[in-house]
Amino acid sequence: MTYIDTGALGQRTRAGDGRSSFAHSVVDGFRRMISIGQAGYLVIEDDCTRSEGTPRERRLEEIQLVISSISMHLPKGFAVGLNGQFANMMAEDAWEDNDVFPSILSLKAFLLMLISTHATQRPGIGTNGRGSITAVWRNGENRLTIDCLPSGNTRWVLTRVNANGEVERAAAECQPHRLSEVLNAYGPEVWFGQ
Amino acid sequence: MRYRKAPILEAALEFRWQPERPLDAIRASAGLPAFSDFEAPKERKLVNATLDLQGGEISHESREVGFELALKDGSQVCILEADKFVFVQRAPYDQWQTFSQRALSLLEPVALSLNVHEFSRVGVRFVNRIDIPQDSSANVNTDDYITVSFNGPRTDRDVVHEFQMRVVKPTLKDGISYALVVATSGSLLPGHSSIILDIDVFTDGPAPASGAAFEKLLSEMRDEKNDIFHSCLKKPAVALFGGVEE
Repeated sequence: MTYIDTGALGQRTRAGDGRSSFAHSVVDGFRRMISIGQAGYLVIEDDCTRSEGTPRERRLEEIQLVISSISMHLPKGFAVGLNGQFANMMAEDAWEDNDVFPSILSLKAFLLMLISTHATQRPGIGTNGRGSITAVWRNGENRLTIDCLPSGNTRWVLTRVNANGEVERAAAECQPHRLSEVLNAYGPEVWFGQ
Repeated sequence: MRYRKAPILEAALEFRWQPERPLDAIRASAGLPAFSDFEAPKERKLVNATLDLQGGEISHESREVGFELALKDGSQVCILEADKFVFVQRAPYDQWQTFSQRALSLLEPVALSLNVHEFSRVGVRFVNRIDIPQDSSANVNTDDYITVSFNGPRTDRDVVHEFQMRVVKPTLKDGISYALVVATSGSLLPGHSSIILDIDVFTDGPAPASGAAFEKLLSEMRDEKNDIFHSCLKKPAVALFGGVEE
């Protein structure tokens, strides 16, 4: 016989979005109680345990959580390295107060870009202070800069020395999943590795 | 055995005790040298909000209940509250030995400083997400990937759009139960659907806080967790984990 008891732990699990953090969805013990009181009173109570933190710290945590949740689709060591890079970029003493935090849509574009291009070399990262995430690869004179925008699109610019020693420059905007195909004409392995 | 692309989102070990310890003692524990490589502790607050619809009044109160410490890269999180210590390893997860040793190296000085000799509850929890590539022209049939399925009273028409299940049940091992959540989910990856397998194996009663019996208990709980995980999976799901690393 099957016995189901959702109350034994006194906690509710929110696993449905696939990105829920154990620390936030379960240990925090989010509890909601709706009770009908006397004479039609309806009282709703929410208990929610949260750690204190500035908006910048919360956004960094959110970014690290998303990167972590997709780490199994990135090359080994990428996620830990990227999370360290974001921590440095968004450190209290490095962050400009007036800058807009990297948006989650920019982050998704950034991660889709990494997956789409099969990059095995981690890029340098930055931001334009308006919510985007900038990825930069440099190999000698060959440079590639990809801005992952809050719109979910990417805007890229490159300088590439071709087989004849001629310098070619190109720039365009496209969806992150198209990058691999679009950049293929420029021998992207010089930036992304094999 | 470990998979190249292990689907583990988060692994957590939770240790609870009774009676609750004073907040000052918890604060002192959060400052122990064992946590020196973590960022400064952040206070954790319990916020209680009440909405009285008839009276049209909203009231709220908050109180400090403990501390949270995280590594700079966010990969590990510790939660210290009056009645518990939790260690969380976020993906990527390496292996049990590394994970459990790290957790215990942090737990031991905490238990010592709080004079905890027995746990009221021990929990081993792994949240997994299986990302399934989805052909744009076809639905994902979860029955192809997991052994848990919907067996409702009606078939009606079309396919199941969402599925969530939570069951709490004792294992065959005395004093060890588990909570299993199985749910479908959207995926961050384009062209993928996901299945969540959230496995929480826990003790029903008091457990020793150290020694061989404690180590044996943790090992048994881990074995139960692994067995539940593999019992939920079919071969096509395992094939998505990129094979096994030596």
